[in-house]
Amino acid sequence: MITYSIPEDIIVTDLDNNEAILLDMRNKRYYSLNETGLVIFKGIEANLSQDKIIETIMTVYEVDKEKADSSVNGIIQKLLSLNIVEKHET
Amino acid sequence: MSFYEMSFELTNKCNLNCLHCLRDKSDMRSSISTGLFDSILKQAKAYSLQHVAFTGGEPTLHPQFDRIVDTVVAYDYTYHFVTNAWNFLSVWKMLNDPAHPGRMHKLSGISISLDGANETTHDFIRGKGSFKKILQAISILRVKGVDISVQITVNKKNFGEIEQMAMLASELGLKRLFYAHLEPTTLAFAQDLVLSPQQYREAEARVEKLKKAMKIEINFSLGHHEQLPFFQCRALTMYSPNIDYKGRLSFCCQISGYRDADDEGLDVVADLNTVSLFDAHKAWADAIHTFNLDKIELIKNNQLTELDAFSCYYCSKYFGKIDWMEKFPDNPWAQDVLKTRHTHRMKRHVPGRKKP
Repeated sequence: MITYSIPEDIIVTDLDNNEAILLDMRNKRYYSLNETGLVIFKGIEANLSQDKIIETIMTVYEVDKEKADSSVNGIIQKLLSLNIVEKHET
Repeated sequence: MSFYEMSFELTNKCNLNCLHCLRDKSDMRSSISTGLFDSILKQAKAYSLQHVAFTGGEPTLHPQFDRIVDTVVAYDYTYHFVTNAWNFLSVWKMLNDPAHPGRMHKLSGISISLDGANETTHDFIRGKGSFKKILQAISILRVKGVDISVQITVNKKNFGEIEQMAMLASELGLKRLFYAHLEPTTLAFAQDLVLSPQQYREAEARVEKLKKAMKIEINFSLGHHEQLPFFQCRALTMYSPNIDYKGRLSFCCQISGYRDADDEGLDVVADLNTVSLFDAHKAWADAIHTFNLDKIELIKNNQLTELDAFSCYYCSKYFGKIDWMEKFPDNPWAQDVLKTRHTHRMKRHVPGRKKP
């Protein structure tokens, strides 16, 4: 099973649930998350599985599984490439 | 440029209890009234005032901070404020209210208090969770393109982090950095935060090196060692009048509401609840004249001490703010106070104020 986590060095600032700003204290870089990105990020913070996050996106935005899957996968890959999210396989 | 800006201690309320805080905590919590604030800004138009600065307490805790900001906007001044960032998310929401675009348009920047290069040091001084809150505020402001300044009060706890704090501010992409000396209080003495005079000079020398080595704008705030005995600071040149939360014009924000000192002290120049800004200005001019005459007398009699070159320290002594130091007779600052407080005290009576 694959799970994800957020390193302690990431400072998250949630602006009214429709935008968030991330600050990576390891390299002092700032990142913006849009509304969809924030929903996915919060799912990761809550230790939800990728499938559960996809389900959440389908419900919140009323999109089909294919679209939600592509969205979630794309954002998680991006966050992984920036080391904002860590991947764990058990 | 006299009266270029006006500084308001909007409130003495604060949501933190910082160990180095200068302000008196025993006074009842209150804030300047919006009516008086409006009246002062209206009168200030005659001076072609440009800018308004907010301090405190924590200025954003003024119960009508939104209305205060809107008043500044209505008079077409720019503004900035100092904050501990503890409740910054709600403040940011208020500033960004689409119904009030002037709040952001007239905001020239925000100054955030930082007291350590890491969470441990900063939170020791300002309270647990504070470091994270300022990083969140900085994140918002940086991404949204608002100028950020950082204010650092140098003390024994963060003395070893002077350079690291500059590195942190630079890496976070902040606009400028102000170091300031700690104004001694009984609490700061009790917490062993007060540096020696030699360490004050060392801190200044290290900041001077940083200024040359780093791209970020770095300054040492008022209160540092002055070469010339008859220096003229922002208060003495009337650059920025300071109005306290009671609506009183005081000599300088650096000694206003000084912890453990007389709240009705000699530095309180006039009460704007009862006199106009113009009459208060005259009283301030009288007080500055008196201050300068007294200083000239000390220079003439060769009575200035080495420590008098620290400008804010000299004023604290002159206005009787640090007489409590007699409780700490082994400290070099206290020894200077005990030696000179009678010769260095304001002696002349300022019209409209109680006699010294």
